[in-house]
Amino acid sequence: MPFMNSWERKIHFFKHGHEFGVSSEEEYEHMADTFMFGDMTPPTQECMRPSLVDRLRFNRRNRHFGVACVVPVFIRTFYPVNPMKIARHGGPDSFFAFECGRVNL
Amino acid sequence: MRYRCPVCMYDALPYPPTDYHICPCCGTEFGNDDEDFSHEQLREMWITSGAHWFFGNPPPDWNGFIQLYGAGFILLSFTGFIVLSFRGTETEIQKESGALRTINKFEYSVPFAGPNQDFWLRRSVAERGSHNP
Repeated sequence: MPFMNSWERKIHFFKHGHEFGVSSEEEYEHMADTFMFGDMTPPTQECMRPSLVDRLRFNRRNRHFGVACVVPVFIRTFYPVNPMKIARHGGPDSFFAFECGRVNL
Repeated sequence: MRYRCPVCMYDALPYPPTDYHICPCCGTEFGNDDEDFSHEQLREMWITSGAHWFFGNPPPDWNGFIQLYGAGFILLSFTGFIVLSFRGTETEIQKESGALRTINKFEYSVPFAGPNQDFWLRRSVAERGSHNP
């Protein structure tokens, strides 16, 4: 599944593409799609936010984090979380629990 | 429908400043960056990094400082040079060869031609008494 539109893909790639070392929008989107909609590898966790609109995945090993809207289906964002942010929340589990419970978006 | 960025005050966001949309002006990703920092902190970080346009081409004659000034987030006064004041930090901007240039903190230039710049200069002159007696 793609980003919401080409503009969203472009600007998210511009902001986060270099953090993954990818060189094209297509490569970045494919990486995000695989992460959000592919099979989950063991260190990856998944949850739905209380709104039941956003589905989240977080890989605690490489800190990859993605959010996808489920109706309609598209990728909202995909980026590696800053380790300082994870530490500020008290570790990977606390960080992901916080993100899963967010209703202030 | 256009929306205003609560960080840089760019008023033509194509989407609301929520749900991981990214401001093309300051680069703030809403839901991500503003979970780490307040809008005020992000604004200060954007200003101190030069208030550059983030993504794509800016609108014609766009200037980040003038955008913030128009929204009331920075003060400009005119006394032969311009003093830009932000949270106690002052940056002098002097007119040289038809342009304004910062002389400390961060680089900033405004081409001094066209009706918009004249308008801002007049507004700055009008505020001389209140900000720089």
